[in-house]
Amino acid sequence: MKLWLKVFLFSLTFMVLAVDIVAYTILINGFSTSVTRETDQALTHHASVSTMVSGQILYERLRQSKLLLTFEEVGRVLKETAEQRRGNETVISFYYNAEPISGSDSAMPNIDPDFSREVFENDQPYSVIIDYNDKSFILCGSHLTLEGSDYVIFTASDVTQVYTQHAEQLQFVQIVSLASAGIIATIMLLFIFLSLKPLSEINHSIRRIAEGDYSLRARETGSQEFRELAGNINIMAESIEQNVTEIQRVADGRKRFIDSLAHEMKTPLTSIMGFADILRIKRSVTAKEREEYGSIIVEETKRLRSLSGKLLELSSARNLPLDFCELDAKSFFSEVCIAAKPLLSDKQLKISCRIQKGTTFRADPELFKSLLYNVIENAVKASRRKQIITIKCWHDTDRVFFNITDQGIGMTPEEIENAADLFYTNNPSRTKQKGGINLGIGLALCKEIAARHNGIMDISSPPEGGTAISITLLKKWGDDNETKHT
Amino acid sequence: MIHLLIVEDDKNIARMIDTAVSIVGYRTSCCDNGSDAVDMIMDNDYDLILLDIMLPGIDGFAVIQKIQSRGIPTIFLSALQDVSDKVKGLRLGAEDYIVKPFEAVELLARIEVVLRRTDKVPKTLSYEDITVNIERHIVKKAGTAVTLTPKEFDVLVFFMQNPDIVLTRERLLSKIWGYTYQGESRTVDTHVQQVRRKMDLKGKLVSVPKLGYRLNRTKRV
Repeated sequence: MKLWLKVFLFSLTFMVLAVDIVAYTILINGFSTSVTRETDQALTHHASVSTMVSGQILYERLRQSKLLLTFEEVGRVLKETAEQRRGNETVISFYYNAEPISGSDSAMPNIDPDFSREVFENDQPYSVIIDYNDKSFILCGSHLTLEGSDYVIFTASDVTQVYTQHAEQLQFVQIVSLASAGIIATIMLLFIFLSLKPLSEINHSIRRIAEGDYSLRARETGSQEFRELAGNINIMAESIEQNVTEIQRVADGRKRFIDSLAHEMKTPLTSIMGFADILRIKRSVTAKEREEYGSIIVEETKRLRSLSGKLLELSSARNLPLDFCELDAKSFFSEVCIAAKPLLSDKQLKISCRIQKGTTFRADPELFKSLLYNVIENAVKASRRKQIITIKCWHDTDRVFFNITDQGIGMTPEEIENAADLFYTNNPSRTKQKGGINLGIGLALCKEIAARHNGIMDISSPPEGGTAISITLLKKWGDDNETKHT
Repeated sequence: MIHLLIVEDDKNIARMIDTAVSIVGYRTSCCDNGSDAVDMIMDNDYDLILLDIMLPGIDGFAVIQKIQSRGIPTIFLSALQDVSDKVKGLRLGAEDYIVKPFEAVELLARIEVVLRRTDKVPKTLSYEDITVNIERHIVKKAGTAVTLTPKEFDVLVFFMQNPDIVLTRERLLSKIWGYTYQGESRTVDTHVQQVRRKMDLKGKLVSVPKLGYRLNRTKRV
């Protein structure tokens, strides 16, 4: 059974019971009050009737100027009195020695023997309520001494009206209680549905979220509890969405990496395999063709060699322990420039070095050389013939700055953002236009090396062309910083 | 003559495919990016398109959607080897999906299959005075019918479809007997000798030491 139904049924039963009990109590209370009042009235009336009968006997005695009336004369007077009463609200009957003398017989209810015995044996007036001929009466009885003889007088007053009123009121209360139960039920149902509506909305939202619609948010309406519930569910949905997006991003990144690696490795392999197969199966190969196919195979093999070399370098940059020493910028850069010389001859490029005097820094010489070599290699690829690559190095009290600027084709903001991703291949052909795979791995490698030196690498490319790569190293940093990298 | 369009951004691979397909005498055009490829396909009639997926501009998947109305059979060539990529490619209407790297002969064989399936190649082959009707399984030498076993027939057809190309024993085994066939390469030798004898191809269907067999083309095409 649903909770709302339980609450509804329980409250409804409770309320109807409460209303009914209160109504009945009031009703019974009122009824017993009116019965008591009627009884009092009947007793008073009984007393006045007794007095009146005594008065009439006295009057009769005076009228006849007798000292005492005889038993028969008394009986006659009593009979007359009773006769006069016939048709009245109160009927009278008289008894002598437990024998009725007179009475409005048909109208007078039968007197219960227990009651009459009580009246005969005791000296006080008694009353009882009896039903007779579909009517209710209050029957009163008492002793009455007339002319020296002991009589008993009974009076019966009709109180049917009180009972019928009570029955009517009872019926009315029942109808009202039923009607009010209906009204209360309707109001409660309406209230429950209105206040539970947000709950079903929240329920619906949760189901939708569970089905994978992670961007859905529950509407925060209704009473405070529901708003809080919806709010918390939204917080939950938010973090689920973030996690899913993050997982998706990682998965996308991995897929992109694998796709790119497959592309980078398989492209040269396809040419090598294809041409080797052609050389094997073709019936006649001219010297010119052989030379062409052979040189393509060699070229593509070199491409693969370079790729595997970079991958190894990257792997060692990440995993090998470093050997730090204090390096003098001037002698360090002159070594780098010599190493980079073969790269320059093709496009007749020049390197201009501007090193601040006395600049020294702490680095792993081999790895840092590899960083600068890769940056210069990228600069060479981006440059056009006879351009100049500028290298600057300077320092302040606690930092050393390196800046390598070329005048080449530059990079778009999107390329800069993604450049350090391994195999950034938003546009796969792009790497080839820039002359090979090195943009794909080279900058990722540089960033990795800079990070292991606790340095920061930035790429910027002004709209007018050229790319500047700047690296900032801290002069002093404890060896404890290094431990977390190794 | 069969006309192929090669859409491939790596110039060496494009050159390799070009060289491979010209051995069997197909004419080729090359294109190194997606948008030019769409223009070329819309303006010209090709019998088959070899389409790379990772292309500058628009990628291969987008290209095939744009050229669907032309109804030209397409084979994807891609380094992507995920099943999902293959399914995507084939669902977009490609006839085949070849994962790089591939052997030149395999490429030719799969081009051949697609061309045959799409009725782009003639049902009859001829070599000197031999004519073969592939559909009706009839072989005639100088006008008279020659009886060949089904396997011999397949061997002959395979050589006639690939003139001037060395076919290795493994290649013949996998093509004629299926990849799962566990037989020895002597089976191949026996069948090739039978074909050579029955069709009188001595000196034309030659064995190439350490490699396999080749059916020499007699006149230059």
